Amino acid sequence: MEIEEVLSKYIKSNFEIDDDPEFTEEAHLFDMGFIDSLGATEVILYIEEYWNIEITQKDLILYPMNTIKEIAEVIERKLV
Amino acid sequence: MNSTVNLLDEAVLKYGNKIAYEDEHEEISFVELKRRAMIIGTRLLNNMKCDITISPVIVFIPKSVKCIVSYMGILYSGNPYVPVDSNMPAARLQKIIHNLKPGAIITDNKHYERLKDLSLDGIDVYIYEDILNGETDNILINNRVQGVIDTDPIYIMYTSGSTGEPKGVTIPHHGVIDYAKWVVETFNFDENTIMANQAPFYFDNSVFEIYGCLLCGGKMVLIPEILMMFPLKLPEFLEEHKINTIFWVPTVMINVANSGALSKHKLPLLKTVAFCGEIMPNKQLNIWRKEHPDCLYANLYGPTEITDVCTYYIVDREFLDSESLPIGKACKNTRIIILNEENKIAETGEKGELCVIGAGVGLGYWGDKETTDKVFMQNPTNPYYNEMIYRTGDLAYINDDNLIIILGRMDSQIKLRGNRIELGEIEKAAICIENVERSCVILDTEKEEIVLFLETSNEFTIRKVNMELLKHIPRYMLPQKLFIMKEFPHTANDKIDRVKLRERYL
Repeated sequence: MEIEEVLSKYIKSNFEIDDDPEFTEEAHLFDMGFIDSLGATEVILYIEEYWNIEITQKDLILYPMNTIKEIAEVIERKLV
Repeated sequence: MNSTVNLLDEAVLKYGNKIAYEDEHEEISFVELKRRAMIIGTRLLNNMKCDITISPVIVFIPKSVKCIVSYMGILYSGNPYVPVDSNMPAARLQKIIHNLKPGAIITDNKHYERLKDLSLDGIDVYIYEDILNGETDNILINNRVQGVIDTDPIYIMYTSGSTGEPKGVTIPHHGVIDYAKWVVETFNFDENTIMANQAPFYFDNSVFEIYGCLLCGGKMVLIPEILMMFPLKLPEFLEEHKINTIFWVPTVMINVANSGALSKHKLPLLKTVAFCGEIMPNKQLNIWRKEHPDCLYANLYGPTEITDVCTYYIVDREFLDSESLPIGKACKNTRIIILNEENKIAETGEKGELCVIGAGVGLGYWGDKETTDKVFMQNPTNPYYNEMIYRTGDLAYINDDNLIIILGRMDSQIKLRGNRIELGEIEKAAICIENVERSCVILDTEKEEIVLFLETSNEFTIRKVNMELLKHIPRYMLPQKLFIMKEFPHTANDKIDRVKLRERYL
């Protein structure tokens, strides 16, 4: 499965998002209300465990991680 | 000292080129801060009337070193600054502008666009990046600053109002000067103090660091806003920036404790852990104390109206998880009285309203005498001379150890994750949604969730409702739960029956 696909599937089931046409890989997950502020940490913990990588405080400051696409880019960079 | 900006002048002489403030983009020394602020002050004064009128200036820029430069620049122009949330909904900003009638707005290139849809009635708008390329007129600024008196306002901060109109808490210079001195003395701050700032600048907890740092010559490191969403990464940030002092809202302390991140980072440099803004539960404080037993822990208390903090308690004994932490006693140069229902001083152990007297007490709500007079008033126990008190609306008592214990609110104002919210403001915003007849908001105290009830025959999802609400209220006021009803239950005199709503759904 592609990184985007895994993320999308996890977010959809974990944050109870039904088939919403506005939920796309480019959608701003926080501004559009798909994930609330408390959910952000859950997403990071999931990523760190699933891909066995560490997202550091510096990563969070340097790279925007607001859409599935942006998060996938950070994960890809870490996996190289 | 007549103007708080004198603190910057003194810091320049004492600490010079030492780094004072740092964010993720830049760092700035005391000297450079003054240089830039003087340019902004000159520019503002060149375009304003230089008589004795006070003309507030809004700073509409995300939290950064740029904001501090702007605040100091505005103080050099002899005017109060008004920090506003750069994510604030346009409708709310418009209400603030309407109430404040500011002399100018300072913003950056990115946020300038957001002002275009507002009706500004000829208010000067300055772009931060542009006004930094200017001259300094020392004489103009010196004359203006010398004319400031310490009872003039230094800043106006807007808080939630129950009628849906934000209230502009107006604080005098002497409140901040007095507070900065107390902060530095109480916590023994000096040039080696390095603070990690969490509070947004439109919350007055940030006054602790901005002015504490100016007075002691320490350094204030601004935690990037994005990191506040990831509490488990905060200890790593503290380690990286060699932080020895934090002053955070309990919600953030709780989230960090619950994330388990404290046991992974030893933080040997951390010395002072202070917190304020809501009740700090001992359960999570005990996690901090266990992992970092050598730190000084301090529980501070105070509403915006009295310049951030009016009581403090240095944690000096063990507490059970189930015990409540006292807010301690009054800060130096501050007096606390607890008034019972007959407006008399409450006995030890007797419940009453916590009231504040002292230099920190604010000047009221900007342009709203009626609301001001309800809570800023003559001390009812003093028939002899003018003595202003601020009635906090917080219910409290003094225990046998002579320490103040807070019990809760006397009205519908709530504190949620450190944010002060009037439920009425959410209700007013919800009525603005199309096809909504009525709205009612209650707090589920156990789950710490805001619950919104809408009377409407339409279908809504909570996400859609929240997207609409965001046009009027900030994100931290959004409800977590939504109930749609065709008709609300009523009391005998035709009011919404909140008790029944609560019973039915919670």
